[in-house]
Amino acid sequence: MWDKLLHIDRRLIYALLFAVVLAPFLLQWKQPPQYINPWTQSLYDYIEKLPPGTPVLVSFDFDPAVKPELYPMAMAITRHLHRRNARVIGMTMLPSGVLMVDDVLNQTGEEAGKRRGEDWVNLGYKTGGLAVILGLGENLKRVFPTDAHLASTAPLPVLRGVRNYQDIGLLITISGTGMPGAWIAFAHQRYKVPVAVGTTSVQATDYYVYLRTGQIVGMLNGIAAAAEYEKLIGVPDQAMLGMPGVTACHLLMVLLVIVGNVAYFASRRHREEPTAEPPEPPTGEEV
Amino acid sequence: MRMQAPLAIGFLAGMFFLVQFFVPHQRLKEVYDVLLDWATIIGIFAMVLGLGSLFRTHIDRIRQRRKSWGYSFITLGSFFLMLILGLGWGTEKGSPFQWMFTWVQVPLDSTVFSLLAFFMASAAYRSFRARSVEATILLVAAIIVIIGRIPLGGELSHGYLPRITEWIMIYPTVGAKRAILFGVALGVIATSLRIILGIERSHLGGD
Amino acid sequence: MPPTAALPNLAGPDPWMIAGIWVAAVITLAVYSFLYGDNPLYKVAEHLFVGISAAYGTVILYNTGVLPKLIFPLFSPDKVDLPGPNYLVLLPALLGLMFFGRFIPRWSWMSRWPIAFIVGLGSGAAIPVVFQANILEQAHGTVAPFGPLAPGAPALGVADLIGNWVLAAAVLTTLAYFYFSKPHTGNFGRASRLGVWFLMIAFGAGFGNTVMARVALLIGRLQFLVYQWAPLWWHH
Repeated sequence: MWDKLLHIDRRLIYALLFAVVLAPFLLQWKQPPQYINPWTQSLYDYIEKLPPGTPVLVSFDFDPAVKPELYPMAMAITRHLHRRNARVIGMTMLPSGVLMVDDVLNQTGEEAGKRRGEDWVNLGYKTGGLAVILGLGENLKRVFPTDAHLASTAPLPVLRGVRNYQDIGLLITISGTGMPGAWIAFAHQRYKVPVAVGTTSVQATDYYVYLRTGQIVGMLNGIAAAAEYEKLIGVPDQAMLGMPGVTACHLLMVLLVIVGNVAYFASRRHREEPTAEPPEPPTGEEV
Repeated sequence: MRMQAPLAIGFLAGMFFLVQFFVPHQRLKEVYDVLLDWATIIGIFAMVLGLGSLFRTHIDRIRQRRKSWGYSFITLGSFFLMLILGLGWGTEKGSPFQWMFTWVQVPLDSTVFSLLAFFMASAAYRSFRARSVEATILLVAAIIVIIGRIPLGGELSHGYLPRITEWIMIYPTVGAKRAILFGVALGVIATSLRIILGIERSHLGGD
Repeated sequence: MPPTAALPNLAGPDPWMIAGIWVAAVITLAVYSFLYGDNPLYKVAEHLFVGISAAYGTVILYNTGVLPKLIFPLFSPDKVDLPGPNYLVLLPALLGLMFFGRFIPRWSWMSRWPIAFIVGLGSGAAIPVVFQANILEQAHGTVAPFGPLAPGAPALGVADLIGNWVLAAAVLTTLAYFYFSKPHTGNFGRASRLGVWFLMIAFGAGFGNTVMARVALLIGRLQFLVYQWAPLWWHH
């Protein structure tokens, strides 16, 4: 029996996972966050203290592959920035992020009654990676002479008085890659601009080292932190909607690990017992 | 000359950016700005290079009738369709290009990566075994974090499990990751110095 | 009920949006068919993905790179706030064109020049900041908690006090594990073994976080199928 359990068809596991994740949607189960992570709270408090009109550079460094985790985070943060009347300067370090940045900024801008060019702008994408990060420390409009819609950035009211990082109140990188490490090393370390990170849970363990040293002012760790942020700003959206499914799936994972181990050890014990050799008869030499 | 010139370019570029960090003189800053511009422009051509490889692979596959060669028509056909839509009708909201991105590319990208959840569940069941002390420590830490990060974990433990999870993330995990980071950083610095001094040449494709 | 953002506007249906939802649903199910076994439907989706992503990147590159950085500075300088044409961009453009030398065996050496420039730039820029960010600041962060508290800072709780010692021990013992120039015997060997245990805690915590990340991706797709595609069945 244990052997059969160990070698169960993997498609049954897939079907079980599918059913477990689907169930909370059908049952309309609610799982609002109970505990707010201190680093999520830290970012929220930092944005709350920003004076109105502060330019905030938000780099949406994610592609559709991690959209379910980072898009809700991007929406929640941008809503908060608009509420604080910050000047939102959006950009991306990934070409596949350009249209998603537009989606986020258009939707949140419309909700908050903010205007493109005056209260927010999407600068789009530029090749060069490191050269872009360093170039923003010298002259933002030189790196981005046009925005994502090919309008000149020179006359834009939202960029008035913004020459480089010295004029930016906060830099937020929302990324599912190693980009935050580059922003921290090249933007914060060299130009001393405060940096905050929103990242997938996979990458988050790599950035905890920067939290304790003060190199980043706050961090959102995955969909759970996105749900916490939605709770803090009082706008429940897709992250909070997804938390029941996350809960169900996590419980299933723990169950699979436990059952897998029980089956393994039981099957090993079962296999060892019949093959146990009888003790050797005494040879008489000990006497 | 074919190797000396690139090595000299690498040395000059590397030394300039290293020295400029410590000497923010106005003239150096002006050259620094120009060179950063150059890097952005050169980056455009690097991206285009990737396309050449894509075309070569699929055209060769069709020409030589290799396995699954018929699907290469789909790759090339969809490439040209999307290119024509983007360059012909623009990328603004409501354009055909944006429609293709929203309803074809995003679902494809997201769904392919969501397959990982299934493979992870299967791997958790089949491979995660507490065979040794180390494996047991790994499993226990994983289970604490898995339960601690969900709202139910907080509810069942009166708020203690999320705090324990956070303590694990902030102290022992950061300690181990920090040690790894030291090693990686030293490696990056050593490799960078080797590249600037021309000792490391693998990025130039060898002699 | 899901938040409004998740639901399609079925009151005044946009036919293109309805068509899009159906296309996305078929694509999603085609990719998930791979879970049962590799099949032609999945292969079509896979090849479509490659072609469309490549073209998307090309179009974005043209709009955000080629036009504002090359075409406008040369032919429409007013669009990028320049007083006149900037012919200086031809130099990096020439360097960039040298990349394509790799397609012709006789001229493949040319592609080394732009690579050398980019890699040299990155190496030189990286050295001082990586040293500061990932060595000095991290070392400071390990010992600073044992120093005096900043004025006005709250007193540390028991968990934090123990945690600081655990953190320092984790850093030192993990470094001991990765130090291969000395045999891992005696006290050094014991320290190295403890370092392995801290690494296991870190990897376990990493796996715990990875579960959440992967699950979130699956939930994203299911949210689409349940809240955007399923209602179309009842509505139409």
